[in-house]
Amino acid sequence: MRARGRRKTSYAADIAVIHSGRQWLTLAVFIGLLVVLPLVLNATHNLNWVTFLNFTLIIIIAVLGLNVTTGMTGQVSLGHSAFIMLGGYGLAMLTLKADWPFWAALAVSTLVTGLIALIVAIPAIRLKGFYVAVVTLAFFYIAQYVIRNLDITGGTFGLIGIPSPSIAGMSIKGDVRWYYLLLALTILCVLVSVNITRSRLGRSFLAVRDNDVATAALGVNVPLTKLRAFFVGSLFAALAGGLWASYVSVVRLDQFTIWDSIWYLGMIVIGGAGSTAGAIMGVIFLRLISQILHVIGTSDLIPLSSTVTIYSTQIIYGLVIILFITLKPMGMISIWQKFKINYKRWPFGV
Amino acid sequence: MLELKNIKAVYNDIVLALDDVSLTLEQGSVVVLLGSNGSGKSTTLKSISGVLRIEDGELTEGIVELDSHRIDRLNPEQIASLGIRHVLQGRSIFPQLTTEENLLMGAYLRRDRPGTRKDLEQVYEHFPKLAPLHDRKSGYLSGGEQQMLVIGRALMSHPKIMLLDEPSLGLAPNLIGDLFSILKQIKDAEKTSLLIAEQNAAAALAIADYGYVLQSGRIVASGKAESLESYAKVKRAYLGLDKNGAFLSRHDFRQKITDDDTEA
Repeated sequence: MRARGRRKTSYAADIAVIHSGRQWLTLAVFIGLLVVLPLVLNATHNLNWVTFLNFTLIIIIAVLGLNVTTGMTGQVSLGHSAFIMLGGYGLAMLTLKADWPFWAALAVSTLVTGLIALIVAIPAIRLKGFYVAVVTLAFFYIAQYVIRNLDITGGTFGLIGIPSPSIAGMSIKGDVRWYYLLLALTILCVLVSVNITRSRLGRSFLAVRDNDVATAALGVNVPLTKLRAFFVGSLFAALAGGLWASYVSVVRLDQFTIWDSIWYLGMIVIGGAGSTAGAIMGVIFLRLISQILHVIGTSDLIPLSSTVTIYSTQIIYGLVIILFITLKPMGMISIWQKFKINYKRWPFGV
Repeated sequence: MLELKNIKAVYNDIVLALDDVSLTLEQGSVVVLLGSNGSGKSTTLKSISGVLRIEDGELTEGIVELDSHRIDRLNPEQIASLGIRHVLQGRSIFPQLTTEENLLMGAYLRRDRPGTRKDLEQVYEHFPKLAPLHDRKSGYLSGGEQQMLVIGRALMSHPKIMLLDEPSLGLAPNLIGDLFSILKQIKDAEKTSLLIAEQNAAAALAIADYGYVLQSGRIVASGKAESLESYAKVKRAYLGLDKNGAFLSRHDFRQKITDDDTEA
């Protein structure tokens, strides 16, 4: 019989990402499934599903960043879309105007966006709550205005023809190749995000969110910690933006809207703020629902005119979110945690 | 040695919280601040730890000195790095972190891992109840456990001075006695000076060397702990005891005060 309520004897065991051989196996099977996923979808000739997967992966990377800034550290940022935009435009300008190789351009645009985020964060860290949201909101519009009115960014037309990356001489072209590249990078970002939570840095993020006064009294430089959170969060965003730009090979202002910023916040709230797994679940959940509703809305399944169904799906989408937040305010991760505890203690669950 | 010299604290530029408060905390001693609600106990501690500034307060007059160096212009994290730990009122845990992660936050300024591990064990020795709860989210701990956790967290940095803001708040009477005897043990073992703001004067005076009584932001009485214990006014107004040492209920509190005043 399996031992119930396994006891851990050290903090290292407490914070280990993988606790047992069985978890290694589950993880391997899960990643294996992700690897064969596009092949299965390809077989049914529904190529748009692989595109859907690719965008989902890009957004997961971006939202992991917002999860650091807002989820872990509690700094509500409405400017996340702007950081994604800067990453995208940075990559586009470096590859198109300066002929930089893709990977160098991606690294530099990511880092520069991080530095810009530090400048944005300087007024934001002196403030609390809603005021931080307003500063980041203002930043979004400033960034948008600047990009619209510069020549080098292509103004309202944007930049077209952004090159694809190549790895070991193989050019990443086509949805399936992009899928594997994005999957690898997403797994990398997830690892980074999980390890932030386990580190001294991550503890200071969570501590600032939970009780900033007590955190300061313990010798933590709270403003500096918030700066770090903005910096790390924007790195994820800029990376996602660069990949996005290259994947669709264009950057335009209407790709990066303030609504996206708000949806990203919605995703971490629905997933369970502060948790890496929660952020991923939130992205997948919201995107899956919207995609399924879109498929139903545009199909012939419902004998109504397509204008009616497309708009009704928006209403259903909103309703699902409202219901979810009312019924599970702690996010999807709380369902998972409850399941885990009940599974461990079976048949004596709560 | 920590010294407050004639400090005046003001919140939001208008609310006067402390007026001309001076006190001294000798190295290795226990000093207790007594006073009813709103008398300025918490503000005194916040003026020392620098937390006052985060809460829109400032010192308009007077200075705070640690070993003859001014510290009243420093940020809270700088003051913390000098070895002063402020245990805030009302169990300021980080509810989403586990017990152990909370304790590790207390060792944030330290970089030596083996030493931190050893101190973790030491905190679990001081507070054996915390050991089995090390991987529990601290938000799920009971009030008493949370109070032990925040004190343990402060101990993780081997502070020279601990400022404790109403450690007995909301604890069951039997736990209050335990808590103060643990505090005394800590003080004896680690040579930590303690400055304790308390409403439960009887419990605090039992381990204190010296005490100050605050009223409306001013110090109205001070003296050795033994002499304060017998100080009639303190008993009535701040300890809630009658002159025989029995607790007053709210009803007879009103009556007794008028009775005693006429006696005097």
